[in-house]
Amino acid sequence: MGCDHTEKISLLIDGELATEEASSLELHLSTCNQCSQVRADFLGLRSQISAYALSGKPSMPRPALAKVLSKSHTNSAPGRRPRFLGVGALSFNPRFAAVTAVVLMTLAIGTIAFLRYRPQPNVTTNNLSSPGPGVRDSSATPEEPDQLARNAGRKPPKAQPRDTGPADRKPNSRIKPARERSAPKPLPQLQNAAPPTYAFVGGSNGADDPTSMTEAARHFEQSELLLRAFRNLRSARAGKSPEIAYERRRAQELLYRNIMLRREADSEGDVQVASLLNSLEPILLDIANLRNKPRSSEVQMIKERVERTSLVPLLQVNSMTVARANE
Amino acid sequence: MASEDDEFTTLFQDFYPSLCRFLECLLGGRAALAQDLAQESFLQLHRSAWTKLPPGEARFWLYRVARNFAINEFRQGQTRYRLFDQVVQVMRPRRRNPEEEYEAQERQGIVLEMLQTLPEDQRAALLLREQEQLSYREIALVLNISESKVKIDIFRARTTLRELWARRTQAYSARGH
Repeated sequence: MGCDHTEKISLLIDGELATEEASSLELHLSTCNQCSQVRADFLGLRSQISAYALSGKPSMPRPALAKVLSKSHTNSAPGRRPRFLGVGALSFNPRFAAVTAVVLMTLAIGTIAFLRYRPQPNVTTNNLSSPGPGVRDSSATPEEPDQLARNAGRKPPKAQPRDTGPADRKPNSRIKPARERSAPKPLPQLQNAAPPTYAFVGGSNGADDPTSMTEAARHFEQSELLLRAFRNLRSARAGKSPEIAYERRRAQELLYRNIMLRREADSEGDVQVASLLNSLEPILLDIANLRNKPRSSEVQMIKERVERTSLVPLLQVNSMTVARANE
Repeated sequence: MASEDDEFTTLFQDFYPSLCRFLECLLGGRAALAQDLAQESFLQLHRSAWTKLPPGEARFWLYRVARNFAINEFRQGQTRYRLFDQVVQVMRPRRRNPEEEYEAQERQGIVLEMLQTLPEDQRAALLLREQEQLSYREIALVLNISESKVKIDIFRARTTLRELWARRTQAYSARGH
């Protein structure tokens, strides 16, 4: 092989060679059979490739265009490329489906595991022989003595009449948010709160029973019951204000506990519990701030808020989840 | 909106057949898949990038997206469409002259077969050059590579095909044709 201008010939036939270089190569090609043959072969290949006709007759541009435009207009969300009915209708991708299924299953298992074993704030049960992973034993944590002392100091739950004596009653105490949020310690009222009218799921009969549920689960359950009771409030007679003294007092009690639990959840980074408690707090506050005989419109407004925020089902789900995690 | 759709229609009519051909050659003759991917490329263009592209860029964008679709197909499964394409091939209406039909088929088959021996990047560059008459700069834009790589890819592709062609011709002569 005397000369090798193959690369330049490739550029020449593509018009990518500078004018001067192209002229000199043209001159060379007129005298060199070998290079001239290369050019002829390259051009022959070009004609073969460019003459390639579509083997399958393409769907006519107009129907195809109509298909594209209708797809684009009707479903503008971009995503995994869709298949057109017709030529591409058989394009189910089993690998993609399998990968998706695996990912979904992993996510589902992860979510269940997270919900089941998520560490709960302020776990007060210490009679479990083998707590599940992630469930804190309160006796082993340094910040719990205060809580334990409070629990120890509690009286055992005993039945109380629905409307207790004057010690329990604070008919005119309007609770202000700023004051509550800055209240560092729970009021005595909170520690003694255990109205027997609220039954607890799981056989526990007293709100202060520390052995069956975590504090958070109990709180969720009590709040759920309160909200249910409040939602079902009806005035005894049409036109009369509903009697809500009990609900109001109960809301005050739960509010203090809610504030405490929320702070604990915040400090422990338990976003889910903190968020739920955060949503619950203004509702409890509103109920606690109602008069003993509020206007129907005031009650109705709070009821609507409870409905709108779906707090009752949320509390139910969370109390069950937390309780299950503690089993 | 109407004028945009008009422009899109013009673009579609101008480039849909050539995009189908490009994809068909890239995919080794899988015509049904090629059409499907060409339509999907246009759909993508219409959905996302159509109004944002500078004038004249749509064609390059289309080829780039179409080529990416083709690469995805290579990765996802080589055989998915084979059976369906064979059915399409069988059901395709024949040309009137059987001899002409046979010759055309044989020639196309050889071209496709030879093209499939090339690496995908060389094949795409060569097809864009020979079928679409894009310049090296435009090919570089479509394939997102440098112009010098385009130059090398096209040259290597041609050299490989030329050798294959020579070998095939020799074998053809040796059989006494």
